[in-house]
Amino acid sequence: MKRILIVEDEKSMHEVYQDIFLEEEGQYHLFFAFSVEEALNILSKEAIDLIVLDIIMEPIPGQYLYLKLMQDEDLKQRKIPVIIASVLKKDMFERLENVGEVCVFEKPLAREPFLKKVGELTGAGTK
Amino acid sequence: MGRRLRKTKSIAKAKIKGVVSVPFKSKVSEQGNEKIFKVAFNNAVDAGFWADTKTGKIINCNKAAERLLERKRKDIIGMHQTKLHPPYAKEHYRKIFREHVKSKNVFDREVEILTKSGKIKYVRITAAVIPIGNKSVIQGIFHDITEQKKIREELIRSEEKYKSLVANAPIGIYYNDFNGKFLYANKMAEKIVGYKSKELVGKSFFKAKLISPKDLNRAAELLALNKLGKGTGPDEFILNKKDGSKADVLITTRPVIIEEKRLVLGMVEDITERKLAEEALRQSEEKLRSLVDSAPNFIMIINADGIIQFINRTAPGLTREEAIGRPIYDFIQPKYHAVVRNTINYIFKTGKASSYEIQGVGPDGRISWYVTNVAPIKHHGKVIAVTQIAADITERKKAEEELKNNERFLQSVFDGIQDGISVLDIKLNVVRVNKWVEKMFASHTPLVGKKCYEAYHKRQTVCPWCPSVKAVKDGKTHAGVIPYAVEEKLKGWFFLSAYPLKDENGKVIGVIESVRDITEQKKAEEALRESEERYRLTIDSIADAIHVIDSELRIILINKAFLRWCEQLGISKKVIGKRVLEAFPFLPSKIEDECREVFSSGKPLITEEVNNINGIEIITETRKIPVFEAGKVIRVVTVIRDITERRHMERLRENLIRDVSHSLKTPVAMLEMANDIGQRGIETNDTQRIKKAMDLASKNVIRLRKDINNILEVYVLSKAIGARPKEKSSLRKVINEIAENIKYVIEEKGLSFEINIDSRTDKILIIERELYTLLLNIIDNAVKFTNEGEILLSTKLKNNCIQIKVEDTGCGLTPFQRDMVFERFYKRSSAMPGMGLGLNISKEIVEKYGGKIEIFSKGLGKGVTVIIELPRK
Repeated sequence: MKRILIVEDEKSMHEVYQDIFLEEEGQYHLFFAFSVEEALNILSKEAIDLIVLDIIMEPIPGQYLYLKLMQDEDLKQRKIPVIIASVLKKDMFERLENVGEVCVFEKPLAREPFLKKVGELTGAGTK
Repeated sequence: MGRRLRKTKSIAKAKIKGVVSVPFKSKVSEQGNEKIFKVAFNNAVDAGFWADTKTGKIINCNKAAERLLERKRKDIIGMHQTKLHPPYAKEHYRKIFREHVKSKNVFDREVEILTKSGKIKYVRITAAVIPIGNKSVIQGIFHDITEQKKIREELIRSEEKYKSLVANAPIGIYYNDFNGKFLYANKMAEKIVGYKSKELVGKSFFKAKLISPKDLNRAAELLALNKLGKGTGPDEFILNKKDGSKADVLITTRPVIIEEKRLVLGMVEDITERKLAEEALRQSEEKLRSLVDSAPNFIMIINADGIIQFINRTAPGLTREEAIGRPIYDFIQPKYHAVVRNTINYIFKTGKASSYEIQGVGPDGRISWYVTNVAPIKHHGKVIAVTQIAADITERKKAEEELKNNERFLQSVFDGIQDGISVLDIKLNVVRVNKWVEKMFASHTPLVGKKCYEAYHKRQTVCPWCPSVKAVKDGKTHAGVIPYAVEEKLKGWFFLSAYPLKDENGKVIGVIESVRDITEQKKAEEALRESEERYRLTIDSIADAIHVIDSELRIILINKAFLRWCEQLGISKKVIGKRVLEAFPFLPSKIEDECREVFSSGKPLITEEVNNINGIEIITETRKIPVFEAGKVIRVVTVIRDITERRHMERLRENLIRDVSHSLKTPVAMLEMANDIGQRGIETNDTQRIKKAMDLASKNVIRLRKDINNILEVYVLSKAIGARPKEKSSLRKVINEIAENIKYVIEEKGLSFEINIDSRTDKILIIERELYTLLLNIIDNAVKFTNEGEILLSTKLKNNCIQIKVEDTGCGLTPFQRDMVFERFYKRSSAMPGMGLGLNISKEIVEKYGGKIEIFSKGLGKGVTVIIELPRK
């Protein structure tokens, strides 16, 4: 079972993610974090195969976690893939201009391509 | 002589015998005898006296007695014998007379006689007592020995004199016999050899070890010569002294006859000191000679005719011997003969030293420059020759020549400088000026020698502004613009730089003034200043802060906006005359480089700076615009615009676009995803999923409606300000509507929403839609920022106003956030739903009705209270 950490401050969105992964039962274990702090806490305890990251969050925006994953000595070694899921387009993310290729899904999430990408990045594959 | 004196008795007898014969027992007749005797007695050479032995009185005398005593016979007869002698010896002679009479012996002794004239004469008395008749008479024959005695005494004195002379002579004197045996040695001789006379006398000098063995033969040869009657010497000998040391002596001998013996008189002179002195002199001479010989200089002695008497070294191809005796002029180029001759003549004439510089051939054969010091050699005060000491000064000459060239070069530079240069001494006397100064002050000449203020300004006192005075005082460079006035009439302006002139010890010895005539420039500047003054009004009315700097980057003009700006920012307003960085220390240092760049390139420069002034961040846009005069940038006008607000608005606008996108797109995205979930629910016949989709949809529809409402409200408010309510609205009704709309959110967050409305406050004159918007925004914020606890809405009447209070137990506000909440598009976080319009709209609505809205918070985590007051009517 691949372990996915979803970082999203909107509770409604948690419900949406649950629904998205509903039909993939048995393949993924979902961890939910309302904030970046919570996400870091989970990362320190759990082995995570993929992070789905919202950008506009309070008080710490998602970019911080993204940069931390790339720069922090320990986290960098874990090479955890990240999917950014946001209503905004990539060019509206501050401070992510220079980080190279970023995998971004615009909300509303298109169920099929999103799950396909999740499968690719975790190596789980889709049905 | 002594022995001769001892024979006197026999000599006296012989004499008496020859003169008077006194036959005591004569055979001739008494009568005849007596006559003969009388004649003989009377005419005898020696004085004869008869004296009565009893009375001591003279009873007879002869003619010689008269002569002896210088008295007549009649005066002599009857005199007491003692009266013949000097009175001091009277008793002595009385005694001798009595003893003689008594003993009746023949009396023979020398006595003193006193003449009538008082002279003392010496006589030898031969006396005998003889009976004449019945009388006993003493007959004395007085032989005058005065002359004899005088001669004898002189002889003794003379002998003693010579003895003493010999004994004390400052030269050693000795006698020896022809065997070399010493017979006598004087004190000096004793002193020379250290032996006492008695140690030497009787010893042969061959045995006395006085002469060293190697000299003995020579001494014997000399003695042989003496035997032949010849004198020797002076010959040098080295004598062994008694104390073992040596004495250098000169010995001279003469054969002499002393007391009928042939002897050798020797004279010995100690020349040890002289020898030592000679040796010292010789050594000293040697030293001097070696000094002279090794000296690099030419040293010559020249006599009055210019003939070389001595020379220590010569040019190649010429020996010293060849040079000596030749005139000095043979070795000097003809063109220098006069100067050499004059110098030599001068020294012979005055006795004073002198010198000259000429070229000549050196010891290495090269022609070199020589400085020759010539000094007199004097003898008894008269110049008898001159010494010439010539030193090679070619190198010095070369250096001098180079110096002259440098001097010429510097003079050309000095004169070529197109600014005025004048060199002053420490007392401000003009020492030197260049061509520019000469030309500029042509009518003031001569300049050199005058005080600078006299020379240039025709003043009597130092100019008070003079930078040179300062430079002299503190040894530093000073510069400044100074008025050029003649007799206190202003002619123009100079830029004067004064550089202190220092000696090798760093002491200021003068000052170099560099002067540039800036009268024209100054005039142009004046004109510009006037023009600037004229435009000041215009400049002052410009809202942007403006300052103008000159080429030294000093601020020369600022406008009113700039002053205001300084005031607001708490910067000192006294910036005129200061450099840019001095006035605005908060600016980055590159600002000066930028100014210089504008001065040099002539191109305007526009920059944007983020300044931190007294803790406030101010963004400025600075335009530096060059001002030209005769093709050269003379000023830079800097226009500073505070674009903090503009940049802030720009940032807000960017945020707005993003936030509006987020705010509108999020509920739409959620609706789409809810729809997707609903679809799936229907497909899979999963009611749970359908319900979940419905929930999501309704929540997001409300959110969407509120946002759109707000946008519309802004639009309506901005378009329809002034629209007045036609009837009162019900507060309760509006609040209930809001409560219904937020029911889902309240429930979801687990909050409680309490409403407490005073019935007197229900009716209120306000457009219902505006009241709804006003309150929804407040309540929605409370819900949004409260995660647990409650939201309390209460109303009451206060001073004819309806007060609505909304309290929450949410996350509270910082003082800064509290100040900002009413700003349009302000959002605490872009993550927050909404567009940052809510409270701004609420405020505009309240103000439209003449009410007020205030927001309170005790800080983060301590909730927020919003109080709205609206007039009842």
